[in-house]
Amino acid sequence: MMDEKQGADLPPDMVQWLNALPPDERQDMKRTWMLSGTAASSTTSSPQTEEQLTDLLAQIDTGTTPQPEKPEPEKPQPKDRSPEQRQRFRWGTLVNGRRAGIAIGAALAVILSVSWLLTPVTTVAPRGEQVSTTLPDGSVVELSSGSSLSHRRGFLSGGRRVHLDGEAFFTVQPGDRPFRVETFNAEVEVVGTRFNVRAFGSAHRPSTEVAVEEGTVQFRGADGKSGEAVKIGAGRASRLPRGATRPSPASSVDVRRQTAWRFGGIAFVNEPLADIVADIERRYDVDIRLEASGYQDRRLTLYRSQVGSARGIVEDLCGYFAFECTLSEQRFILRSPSGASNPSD
Amino acid sequence: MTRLLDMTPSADRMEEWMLKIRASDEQAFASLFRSLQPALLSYTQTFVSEGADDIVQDAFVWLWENRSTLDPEPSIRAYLFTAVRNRALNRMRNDSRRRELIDHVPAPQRPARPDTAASLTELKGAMRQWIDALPARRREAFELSRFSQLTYQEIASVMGISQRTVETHIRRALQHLRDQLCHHQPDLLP
Repeated sequence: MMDEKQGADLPPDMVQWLNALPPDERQDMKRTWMLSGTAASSTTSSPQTEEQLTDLLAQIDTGTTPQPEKPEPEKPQPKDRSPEQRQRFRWGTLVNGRRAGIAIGAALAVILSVSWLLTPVTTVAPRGEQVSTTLPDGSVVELSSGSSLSHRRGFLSGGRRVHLDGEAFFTVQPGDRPFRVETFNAEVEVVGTRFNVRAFGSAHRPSTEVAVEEGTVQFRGADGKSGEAVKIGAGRASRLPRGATRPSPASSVDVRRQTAWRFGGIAFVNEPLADIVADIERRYDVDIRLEASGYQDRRLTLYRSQVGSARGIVEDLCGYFAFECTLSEQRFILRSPSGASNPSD
Repeated sequence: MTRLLDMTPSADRMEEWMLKIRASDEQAFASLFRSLQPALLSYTQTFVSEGADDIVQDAFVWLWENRSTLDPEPSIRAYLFTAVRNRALNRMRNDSRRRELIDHVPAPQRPARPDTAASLTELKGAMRQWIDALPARRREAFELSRFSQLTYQEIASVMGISQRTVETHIRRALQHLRDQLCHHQPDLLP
């Protein structure tokens, strides 16, 4: 008569008491709990929920500088016009000005639609912020601070292909067509999986790094320079430094740790200080001046599952390297200890 | 009913949203709203007959405005349920339509169905009546646990009582419902 499973789980807090009951009574209680579920008023999302959400989002200060509404002349173009309708506007049938006007309008419409379709869609996560976005195929991308992602509108041409500048975590919808991530020097190809790509082309030691949480990806240098692809399975990672032709062999990593940025943490594994500093600047939108020559390439492994503010990490760095640090709210200056410039002292 | 399960994202999921909300992620905020708004709304409606929508929205606006100072402990659910509760109680006070929220509110006695042919709608109706007839705070604790899937710790924090009291409320509520079932629809029990 009724689905026994429906929300029948008793709260874990209650288990101890239940277990102390005689078996019969325990059964009664479980059954009562299950049946009481019938009295639930609707606690599922409804169209009203969406209306309320729209209202709500209009009320809140989104924290980003509002982009001036740029009129998109392409937008109102009738993309859905059927081929039969379009054929009516043949140039040969133009006889009067009104028709010519319509035809020119239509031609413009086609040109604008095409150019609109060809303009890449770009999503930017500004410094100090993270953004997640859903691609036309339903794949979800979480962009780390100071990163951008672009792709062709609707994935209409060129298949499922995105270009990443920075770092992002991808949850790719399985599909027949392969999904490709391009970076300044590499290409990652997948079918349906979860993985992280880090590719800051302007970094001190630029490289593309891929870490896979679920499934398998193919990782190779960007076209032309490409050697053989490296296959990366779950729990493994590989790196392709700028100028190299072949990614490093996939090695085992703690992916959760590597993607600490997704959950408000930081993780650096043997990274040069210059890149760590750049990362903190992006993540927390602060300015850090590293006035300690010779320290740019000092490597450091640092992991924090939770970071309250940039200041905390910068203080750690100051302590670790014995820098003389000037710290204010948004700006930090790190100087070599007592004016010394040689890190090997 | 499986939909009901969908509406209770795991604690991990909540934590993830919360961290993203702190990083000003609007999509995570929208996801949180979608998953909790219906439960918060029906909870709020147990206190006020009008304006429950606004109360829930206010609570979310407040959450967003304070996102940078959010502390992951206690849970974000407890935060929101507490927020709507406080707002609802204030509203009731202001409306001077305050309902006494003490345990010995006279429970409206309703004749439960004596017949045994328990169709789902009949059971639903009877169950609703029995739950409504519970003392107010007992009912509140029970509903937060049963329908909003809050943990005892969260309920304790929302209602400002000890976890032990929460446990007692829910246990007694369940015993009471069991007795009602036993009395009126014994064939439904094993």
